[in-house]
Amino acid sequence: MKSRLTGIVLFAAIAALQCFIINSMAMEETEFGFSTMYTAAGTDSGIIQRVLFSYLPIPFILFLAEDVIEDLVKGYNLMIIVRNYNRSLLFAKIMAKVVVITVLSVAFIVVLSLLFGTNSIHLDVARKVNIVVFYSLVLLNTIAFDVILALILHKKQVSNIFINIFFVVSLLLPVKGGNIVVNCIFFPKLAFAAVNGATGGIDSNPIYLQLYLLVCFMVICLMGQKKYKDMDIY
Amino acid sequence: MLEIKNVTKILNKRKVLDEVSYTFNKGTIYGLYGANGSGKTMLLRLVSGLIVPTEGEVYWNNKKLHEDISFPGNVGIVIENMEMLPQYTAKQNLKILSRLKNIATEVDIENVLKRVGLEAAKDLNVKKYSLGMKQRLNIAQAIFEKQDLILLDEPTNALDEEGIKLIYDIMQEEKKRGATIIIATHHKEDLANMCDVLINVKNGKIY
Repeated sequence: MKSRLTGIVLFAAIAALQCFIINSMAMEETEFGFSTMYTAAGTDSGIIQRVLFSYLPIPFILFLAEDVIEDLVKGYNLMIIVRNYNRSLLFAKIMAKVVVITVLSVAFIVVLSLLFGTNSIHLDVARKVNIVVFYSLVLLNTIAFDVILALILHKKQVSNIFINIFFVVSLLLPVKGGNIVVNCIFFPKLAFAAVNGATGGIDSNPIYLQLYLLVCFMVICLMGQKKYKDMDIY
Repeated sequence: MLEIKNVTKILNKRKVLDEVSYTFNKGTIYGLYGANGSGKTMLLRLVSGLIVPTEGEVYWNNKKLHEDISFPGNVGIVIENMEMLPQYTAKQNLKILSRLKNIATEVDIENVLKRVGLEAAKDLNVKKYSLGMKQRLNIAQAIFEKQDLILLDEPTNALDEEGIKLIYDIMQEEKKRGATIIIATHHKEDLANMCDVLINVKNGKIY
């Protein structure tokens, strides 16, 4: 409980810091800088800075969501686990928690951006909605991937390190928005407007990428549910 | 009724349970005894549904574990690494657990804390409890919902003589209620007076 509260406070502080950085360093002129700040190509220090600041809240959201892994396997939760008749249902309840954590985290970042963002280029509602949907879906996939990896490896810390490295490597890859296949494999890039086409620049309709992310999330959940159903809980 | 049919469990290429078959009946206290690493705890975890057998089947009231049901309905378990939430009191911890199935009432919670000798400490945060008190609380959560299957791994750990006698009395009451009780320990002498049936577990087999 204490660590969860600490996690919430840290996440809120980092999200606020990100918003402050975007404003005070005038890093991004377009609204919703948390998504529009990132650019997909180049290796000069300005680009690296944008990657770093785009990535800033991600480890803290993962930290918040990691409690759910504990919920599945140990400690106090053993008493909760044996009181559930159905492992598959228990796993589904836990993933529902993941969805709630993601939605609340994204909502907080969006509210900060709306209230305190000082960007001069405004976006219409449709583009804002697309940005939020993409950001949320990528986060959902990242957390779900973390959960299933932790179940397979039985080591929460190792899966967390791997997921964070994967996220950073994906952002650093100098692949432009048009290369859909690579961007789908390195899906964290799809959280950002320059890659997913939420603010234009991509030929295809963003809805197809959103559907892809939704299907990915469901597949990861189904794989996780199957794994959890058949695994030993120590 | 709990049935184990030809159950084998292999972990890290080692057979920790080896073609075990047994039927556990209602209203009976079973004692599993054996050396460390003999397979007692593994057997308890297996019948609780926490461990999946490599081969064989486990049935609870004719329902197959990991197929028809994931866990035996209404099981109470005390095993290693179970911890209550330290920032809450004993009463609050049991209240949180009771909300999952809505079987136990507030009166049941008060009664069980009285039964395990924690009435005076029920409003104290669990982090202030001694090891013996924590063990009593663990046993309380295993019985307060009138569980049909009670699994206790080394329940007398950290308990004084009075505590051990208390557990003995509680298990006799639960047995009269019709629960199936399985206790595992490496102290055979603890089981001798408490149990109706003694089962020796050795190298993953039962005798």
